[in-house]
Amino acid sequence: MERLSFIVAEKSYLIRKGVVSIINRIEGAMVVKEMDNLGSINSEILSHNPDFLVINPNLIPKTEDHRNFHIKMELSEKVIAISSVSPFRKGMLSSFREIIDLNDSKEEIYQKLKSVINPELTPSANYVVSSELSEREKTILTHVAKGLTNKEIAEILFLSAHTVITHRKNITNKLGIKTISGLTIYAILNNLIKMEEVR
Amino acid sequence: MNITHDMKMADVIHLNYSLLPVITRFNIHLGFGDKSVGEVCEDFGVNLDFFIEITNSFIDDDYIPQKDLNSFPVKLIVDYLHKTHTYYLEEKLPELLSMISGLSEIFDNPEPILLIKNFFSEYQQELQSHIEREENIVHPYVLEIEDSFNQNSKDSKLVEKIKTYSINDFAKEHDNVEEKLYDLKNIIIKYLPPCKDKALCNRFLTELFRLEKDLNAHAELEDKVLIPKVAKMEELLLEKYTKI
Ligand SMILES: [Fe+2]
Ligand SMILES: [Fe+2]
Repeated sequence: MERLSFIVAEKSYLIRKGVVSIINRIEGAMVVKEMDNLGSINSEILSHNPDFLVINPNLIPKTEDHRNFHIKMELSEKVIAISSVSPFRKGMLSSFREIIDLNDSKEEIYQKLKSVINPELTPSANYVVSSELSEREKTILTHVAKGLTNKEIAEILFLSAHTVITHRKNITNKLGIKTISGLTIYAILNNLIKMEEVR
Repeated sequence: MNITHDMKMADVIHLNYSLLPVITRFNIHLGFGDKSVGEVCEDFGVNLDFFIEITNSFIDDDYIPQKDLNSFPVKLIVDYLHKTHTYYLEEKLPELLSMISGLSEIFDNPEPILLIKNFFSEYQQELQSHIEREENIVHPYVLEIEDSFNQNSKDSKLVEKIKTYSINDFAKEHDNVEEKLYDLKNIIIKYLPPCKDKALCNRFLTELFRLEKDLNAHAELEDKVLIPKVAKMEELLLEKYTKI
């Protein structure tokens, strides 16, 4: 099983370290980035491509700016809140996958995180079991390596651009390679394309 | 254990030898006998507090700054960043390049190593232009901000500049130049065909890891210290001169 990666964003050092230490003790889970503010959240999400984001909602600016948006759009299923809001106001937090309460015991936090990452309990979790590329992914990778854009690939394969992007994310997750040049090398080394075919 | 001013500089190296390139960047030479960190810094004209903050945060991700990093002049930070850039361009990249040419001799099939070579030269160009931009545009700009801040005279050209391109615009575009490095590591670890000289492969990989760690610490200094500090100065400058 691939390791599931977490970004933890929480201003309080004590709370953050506590959450991080619990996550790192869960088999197959690992915190890849700790943040005490959301200043660079978008670039961190892009560069780490985390499976889950644990965040204190107080860090999200009140104004609906692009950051806020980004988090909601890309990750709403994968965002876990850290909150001290009393239960009757928890409606506010309904957009989060799970809520860790500041009064939770270690065991409760552990269980909540486990249920979020456990594929049996959460069949919708989009998560990589095998790192073998599927035939479709290989086809897409070949086109990426030849230098085609997502849009061009979508047209050739009669897919939506969105589907191509999803496939590309999965390819990157499976291989551990983010850049186009890197994917090209992989494609050549694995005889998916020839060196001369690279644009 | 934290590095302190009364520790022996020799012990600092024993504590964590990964600091060697950092110490070199401060123009400090080895052979410091039993001198303390404070004494060595004085000998070489290095700002002691700055040295202590930089080295501690380099070896310990959870280091708690003892001095407010904002208290250091922009000039001092820029100077250190510049030396770090020089280290990447003049030491690290050539070193990695020569390892790659060494690698090309030990594969039966030249193709994989040719790919690595091309990939690395792309990376090299990326890093170079990242650094050039900082040295040619960002650093002169932040120094100008600090100058104007200290001089207290109104500079309407600078006010205009802040309005058209502020440090936060730079911050938004500032990437961490590590994606390709990350890929390169994975390609070597996971996908390269077996090579005859394992030791050379390992050395190359080790150096990539070191470079990555160094780049991360460097970007941290840019993102978490330099940028907020300059942003604050810009804000105060604008406040002051738009009021008058
Ligand atoms: Fe830099
Ligand atoms: Fe930079």
